[in-house]
Amino acid sequence: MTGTFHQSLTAIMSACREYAHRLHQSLAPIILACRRNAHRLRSDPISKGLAAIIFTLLVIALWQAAVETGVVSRLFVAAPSQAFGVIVERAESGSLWSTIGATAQRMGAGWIVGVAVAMLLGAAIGNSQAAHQFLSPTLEFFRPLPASAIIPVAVLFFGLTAKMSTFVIAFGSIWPVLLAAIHGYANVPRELREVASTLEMSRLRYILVIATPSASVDIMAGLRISLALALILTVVTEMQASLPGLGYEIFLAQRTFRSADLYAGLMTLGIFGFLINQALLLAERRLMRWRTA
Amino acid sequence: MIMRNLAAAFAALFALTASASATNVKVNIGYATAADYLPAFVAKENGCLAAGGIEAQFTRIPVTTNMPAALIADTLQIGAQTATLFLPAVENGLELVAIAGGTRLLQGNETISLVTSKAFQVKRGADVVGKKIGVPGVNSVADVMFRKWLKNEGVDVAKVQIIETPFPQMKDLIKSGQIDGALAVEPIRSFIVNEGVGQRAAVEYHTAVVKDSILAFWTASKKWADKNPRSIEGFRKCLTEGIAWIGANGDRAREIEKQYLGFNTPVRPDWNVDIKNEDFALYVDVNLELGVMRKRVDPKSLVWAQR
Repeated sequence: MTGTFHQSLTAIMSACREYAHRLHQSLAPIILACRRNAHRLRSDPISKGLAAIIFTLLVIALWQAAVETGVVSRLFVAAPSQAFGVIVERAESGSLWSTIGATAQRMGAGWIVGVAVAMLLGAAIGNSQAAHQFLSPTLEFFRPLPASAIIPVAVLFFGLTAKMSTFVIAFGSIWPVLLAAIHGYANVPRELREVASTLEMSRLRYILVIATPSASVDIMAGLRISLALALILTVVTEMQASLPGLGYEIFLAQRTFRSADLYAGLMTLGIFGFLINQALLLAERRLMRWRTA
Repeated sequence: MIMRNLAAAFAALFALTASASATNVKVNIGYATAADYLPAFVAKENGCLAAGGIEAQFTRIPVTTNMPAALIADTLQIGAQTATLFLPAVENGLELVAIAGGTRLLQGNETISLVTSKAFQVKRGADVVGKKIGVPGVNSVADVMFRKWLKNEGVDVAKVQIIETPFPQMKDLIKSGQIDGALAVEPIRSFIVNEGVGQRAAVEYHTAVVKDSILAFWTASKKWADKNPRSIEGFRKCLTEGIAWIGANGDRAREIEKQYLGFNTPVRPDWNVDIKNEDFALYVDVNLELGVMRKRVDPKSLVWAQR
């Protein structure tokens, strides 16, 4: 009896091993192809882009399915098809472009002011021990303040106006660029500083010709972060002060329970943010071609 | 024998409490900070709601635009609203119904007006062109009717900067010049005028559009209303009794008002529990005209009626 059981077990295990071996032989080419594709994906930008598009389409399809099947309520989550419909409708009527234009203008104005102030302060603190000692403690006090916490102060000074919005956006945009600029200017390679000294360059010329290009990698990284912050603050201040723009459209959609309009606003905001970030990356690649030459 | 009697007594007491709690309905009632809702507060304080089987709890809602979502989510069972908030919610699929009237705005007893700084007087719509006017909420009944009035006056609404301004900030913002005027409800309106910060417009914009209209009313989700018809009838009855009681007990009513709102209003609104589907016709037309709504709603479905 025991012998028969042992023989049966042995036969079963032998069959399993045989099956596993055959399965491995069939799957091996597929596994090899996947590994090759993964490697190509890592190195081929077109494949990377395609993968990103496929993933995005998958997320949209799942979202649509969730709404169609009632997993999420249509009252509070509009289907992407409805949101896209609203975007198309607004694009055809022209209101989409004026809304985006208003937000872009407001964001751009505040961001440029913030970046300009950050670059000046960053250059001063990064290149001057005295400026570092005088300014850094005060800046460290303001740095952790959330920009949105400044809004009530800005409203007191400027009222519910576009100036208030510009001030808040500028305030929020300063810090990533300032910190990056300080780091960049303070870490100019010694060899470059020696070149400037040998050539007896003035402080200003040194900053413009040597230090700023050297610090540009850090500064560009700071610019991308500050641009994203600027967009967030633009939307918040538009909602707060009822200023025309994407933020106000989203706010109005929420007030009138138009979920399709609300999600259309969010999608437009997301696409807008993506595009401006891509524009900045392109500018970075063009302006700093000398880095990879 | 004694034990048997004791057991019977306990059983009867248990049955009594069980049946009492079985008929009591827990109702969370949301309200905004306005004297329009005083009859409901009185109904609670005088025990009318409890006697009608309603275990009421009142919750002050600072941002009334949250009311529809709270009713659908069943966080609130009854909520105070105005037509310009209620109708777009119904239009966009939220199954809400009006269950009782709150107040009407009648010509001669306006509880909300345009108040402006003393720098200029408003006698007609053209007088606010180029000005910044604070409204208690974008698409609030005050805002919508103000814009309707401007349109009636032939004024391009885009030439008036309309800014959302919470009631408590209106006085300070007019005083500092950050807004030129505001649509202020009592008692904010009286604070602004009595402290010399501003003045009432010479024209009452809301009643210039319509002399008699529904203002605030009580709503519930249709699902809750259909399940609790007795509670709705009891709530309506208590509101009617509350209005009569306020008339006869002014001092005590003021104490209750202070308790729930934190202040007393100098002007008594026109309370009215009656509400009909026809009361919303004007607001549907105005909402459509101003783009607050995009399509008509079934007027027969707006006021809850027991089937």
